[in-house]
Amino acid sequence: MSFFNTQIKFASDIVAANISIIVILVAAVIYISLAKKWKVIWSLIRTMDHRKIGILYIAWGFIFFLRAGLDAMLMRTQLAFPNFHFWVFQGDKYDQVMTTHGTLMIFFVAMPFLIGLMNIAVPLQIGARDIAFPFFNSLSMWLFVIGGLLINMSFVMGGAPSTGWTSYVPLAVGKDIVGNGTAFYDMGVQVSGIGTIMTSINMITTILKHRAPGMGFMKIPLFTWSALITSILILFAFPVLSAALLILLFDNQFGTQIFSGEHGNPVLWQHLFWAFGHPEVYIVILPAFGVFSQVISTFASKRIFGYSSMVLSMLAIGFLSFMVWIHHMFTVGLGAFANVVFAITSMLIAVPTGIKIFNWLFTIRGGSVRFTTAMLYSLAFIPSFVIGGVTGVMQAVVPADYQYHDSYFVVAHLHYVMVGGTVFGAFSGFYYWWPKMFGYLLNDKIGKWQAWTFIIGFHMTFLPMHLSGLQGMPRRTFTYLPEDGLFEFNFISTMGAYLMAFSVLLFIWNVFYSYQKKERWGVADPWDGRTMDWAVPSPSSHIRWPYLPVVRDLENLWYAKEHGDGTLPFSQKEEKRIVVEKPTIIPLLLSGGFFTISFGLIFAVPLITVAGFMGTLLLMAWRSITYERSIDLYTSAQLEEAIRREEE
Amino acid sequence: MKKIVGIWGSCLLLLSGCSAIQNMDVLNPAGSQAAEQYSLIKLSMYIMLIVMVTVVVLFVRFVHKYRARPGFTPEKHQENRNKKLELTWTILPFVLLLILAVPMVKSVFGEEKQDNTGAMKVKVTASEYWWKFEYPEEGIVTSQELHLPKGKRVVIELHSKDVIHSFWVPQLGGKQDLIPGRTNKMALTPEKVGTYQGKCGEFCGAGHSFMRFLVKVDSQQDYQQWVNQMKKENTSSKLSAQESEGQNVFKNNCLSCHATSGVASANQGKEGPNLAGFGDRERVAGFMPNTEKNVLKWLKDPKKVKPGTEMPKAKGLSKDDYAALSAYLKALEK
Amino acid sequence: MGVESNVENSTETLLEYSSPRKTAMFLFICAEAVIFGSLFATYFVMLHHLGDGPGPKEFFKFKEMILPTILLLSSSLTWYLAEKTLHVREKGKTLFFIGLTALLALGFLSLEMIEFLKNIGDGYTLGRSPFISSYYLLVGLHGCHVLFGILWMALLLVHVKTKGSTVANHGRFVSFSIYWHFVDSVWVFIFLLLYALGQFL
Repeated sequence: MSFFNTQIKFASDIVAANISIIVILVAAVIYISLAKKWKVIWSLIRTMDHRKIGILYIAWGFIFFLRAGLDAMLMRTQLAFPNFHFWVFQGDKYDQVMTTHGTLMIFFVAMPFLIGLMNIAVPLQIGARDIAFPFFNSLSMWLFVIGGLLINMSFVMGGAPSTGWTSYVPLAVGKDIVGNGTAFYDMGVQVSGIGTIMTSINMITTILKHRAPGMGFMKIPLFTWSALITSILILFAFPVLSAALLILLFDNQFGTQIFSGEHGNPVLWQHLFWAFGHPEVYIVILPAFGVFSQVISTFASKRIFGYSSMVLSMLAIGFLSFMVWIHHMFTVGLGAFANVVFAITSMLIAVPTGIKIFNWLFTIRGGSVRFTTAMLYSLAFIPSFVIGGVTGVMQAVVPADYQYHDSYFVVAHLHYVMVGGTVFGAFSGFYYWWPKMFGYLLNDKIGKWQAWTFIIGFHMTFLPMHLSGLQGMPRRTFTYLPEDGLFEFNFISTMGAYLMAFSVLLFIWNVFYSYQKKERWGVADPWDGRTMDWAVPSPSSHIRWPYLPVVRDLENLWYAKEHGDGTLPFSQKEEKRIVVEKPTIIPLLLSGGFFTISFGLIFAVPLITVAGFMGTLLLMAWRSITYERSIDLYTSAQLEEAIRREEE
Repeated sequence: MKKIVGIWGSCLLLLSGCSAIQNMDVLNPAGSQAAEQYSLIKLSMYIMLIVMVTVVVLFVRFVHKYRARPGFTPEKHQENRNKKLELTWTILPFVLLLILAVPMVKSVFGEEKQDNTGAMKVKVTASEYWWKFEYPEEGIVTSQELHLPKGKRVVIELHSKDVIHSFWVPQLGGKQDLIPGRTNKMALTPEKVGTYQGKCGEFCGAGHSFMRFLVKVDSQQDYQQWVNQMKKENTSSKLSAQESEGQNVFKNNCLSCHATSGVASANQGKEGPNLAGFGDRERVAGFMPNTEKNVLKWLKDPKKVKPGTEMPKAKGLSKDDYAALSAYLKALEK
Repeated sequence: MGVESNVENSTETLLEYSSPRKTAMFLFICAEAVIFGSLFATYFVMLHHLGDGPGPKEFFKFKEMILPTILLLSSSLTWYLAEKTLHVREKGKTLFFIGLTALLALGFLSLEMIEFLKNIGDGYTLGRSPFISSYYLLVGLHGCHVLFGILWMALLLVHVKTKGSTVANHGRFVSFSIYWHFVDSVWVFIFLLLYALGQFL
């Protein structure tokens, strides 16, 4: 079949994918209709509430997590035996699945999970009524969704990107592209990247400008600190990617040859990509650090150890992360001097990271550790992440890295930090903040089963990969020869991957199970919390705090518990102009505009692109003109009255 | 608690598996560069083991000792900062890193300063998905199997024809990328006679998994003999009837891309891999054992065997033609 | 619940309203600066990738770019006047200066288009050489920013015309003036680093 000049072949895998897409959509429509949830959906997609936007981030991230996880299962099955032929997943089909897995997991799973948690927790922790610009918050979220959908669609629309999440040129602009793979990658990541930059601006502004009275910089909870530093990293790293993707788009679709061709410079792409890519690694790990700091301190019932060195080490990590990117390029041949300098800066990052590890350990010392599921994930993180960290330092040793580079050793390392750090952090955060998101707790018993299977499966999958790397298995290969001596390692990995998949299914079951039971519904402070996020009702309401809480301590709620009855004191200041934005569909429509632009660029139909631009600009103008009508203004007294009315 | 046991178990497994691990390619060097890299890997592993053990011991102790349980009361005085401790774990890592960084810097600059006069030269050109090896000093060309003499430093010049590849022989030394429009150099000094696996270390598309080669390290004498043989023009006088039939098929279908002589001048303008001495090679298509069955499988549908390969399917060949072609290829011996 | 006109238009509310906007806009400019920085870096790398195309000395016509530079830079000044007059609530003057700024920007853009067309006429098309491609990307992206600024000003004209000097309009002016001064200063860099420096490379 020809679709806008792109050939789509209906092979068995494409047919299966199409059928499952249709089945899932139809099932969703039927479920929503039967449960009479269309109204809920309609209000959800127009919402301006930071909590609901955070939930949407996480929900969409989870959908992409399932897709990327399915990809991982397909890959692990194909790699279970030497010279194996599983279905169609050899050659460029494997490459498509591998690329989709990497791209989705990093840009559309790790990031939304963490940004979702930031959306939910940061305003509550700092005593803000909402994110600084709720409209842009919603728009950012929809742009991320659109980007993720583009990447997901590509598989059934002529071919997914197949050149790795790093999309190295000239591979990514040459004859090796399947369908419009590179264009899908380019626009998908570009569109969501725009959203991510907007989120970072929003988050920084919120934290800088909307802290409750009394909250100086050294009274900001660590999760919010991590959100702030991450957002700063995003702000300076993502635009580099935007520029690189813009050039890639031109090389790929408009015939320029900056990265490729006879006269181009393929190494420039690597520089730009990793100048973004390395900060990106810390963008997805720092918020997880923040989650661990909150969770460990809460469940060890103890104030975090070495708060100021925690903040300083995060700042140091953020700063250093911009000066290490060449360590991804040691084998490019940039010369001994460049390699050595970047090797040393890379090693230096181990110091602040080590400080954090020891601070967490000493937070536990002298406390009283409660083993909830959230805590289990945070505790499992410590040794897992240390393994990932030390292999990272090992790779900074340049001559040794000539051996590790692009082998399974690297695959093991990056999964140890990304899963052992980011995904553990995300799950920990879900279990921790679930009551604040939905008002009920996730079942702890199922949760513990889920955590244990996930942790064991994780080590089973990725520990052997170190060894297959040392045995000489290059990454991104779809098979190996019987005489390579790689079968045992790969087989164990595959079994571990299945165990992790089982664990993810357990999580889904836990969500449904706990939703039916609604354990401890509406309890504001189920964990004996220490920060202000546990001082508001569960789930948190959109309009709150007619008079802002006064911050007296880093652990403001704990301070109130120790020095009183546990209620926060409120400011007396009567505010005259409190803005609450009304729900609107415009962010979703705007993201539709971006989708149209991308679609036109991907399939090289200029008319659609132009239409998309016009639509987007008109919607922006429309929003600007109707702005005054789309907000409600309150004074403090009016807001108090409105909250009372809502409660009745 | 179970978890801690699990982690310790896996650590012990790792240590007890050391004997098996010692046979792993990267940890079993056969060349001086790989040996030096191995020594750095060992050093870094030891240092990192210290870190691991420290963290795990503290972790187990704290989690065990301070677990909430009936009758347990947490300490009254809760310590939230401790300058001495914090300074310790800031300074100690610096010391450990210094121990690691100094030999690394030495090694990197040492390799850079190595004297290359008198070293042998080999020019490697990577294409999707095969390797061409040129010996400019000898005027010969081969593909897929790199022959090197033992104990001699070899300077390898790396080129790429299409996308980025990476030249990796784990037992002889680490990777170096081959980048279009750029010339990289690396050196190998094989110390042991043997056959070593070579791989493409940078993702290069559908056939990346099968972009492999072999490095045959021979004694000086055997190597010289191989060179001399490669320099001879192939003669077709000794061919059997079927083989000369195959030669005709080859001339009509394959010769435009493949040369059967190892002499450099005969390889001018040939886009495909050189086939001189194909009958002696261990592998066909870079990864399958060189048997008649595999040769036929490869010739009949190259793209099915090796995804993404440039090699086309020959048109209109009969079963006999294929058999003859395979026999002829087998007859290409030194 | 109040509507905009009922709310006191005091300095305090003005500040409270525009301060986060200023911060956000400043952060946005940081991101933009990184994008342009990356493209400048690309341009300088591409100075060594001329292919069979011309070098900077041959390619850039310095003198022809002086007039557009003057137009764009003076638009910063007229914008400053537009902002000033908004503060003293002289609606007519504000409208006039927004229009003038937009006109100057439009003049700049047309001259740039002429330059592009001339280049293409000379055979220096987008894909001629990596060097020329990087020039088009950098200058083209800046041009897009100018175009977006013009559309934005058209919108501001509507806002000022219909609403006058409200809190929200002050916020809008704060945002736009940061944007516009940034777009101007990027051009200064382009003019100096591409056109002027190109004469000596």
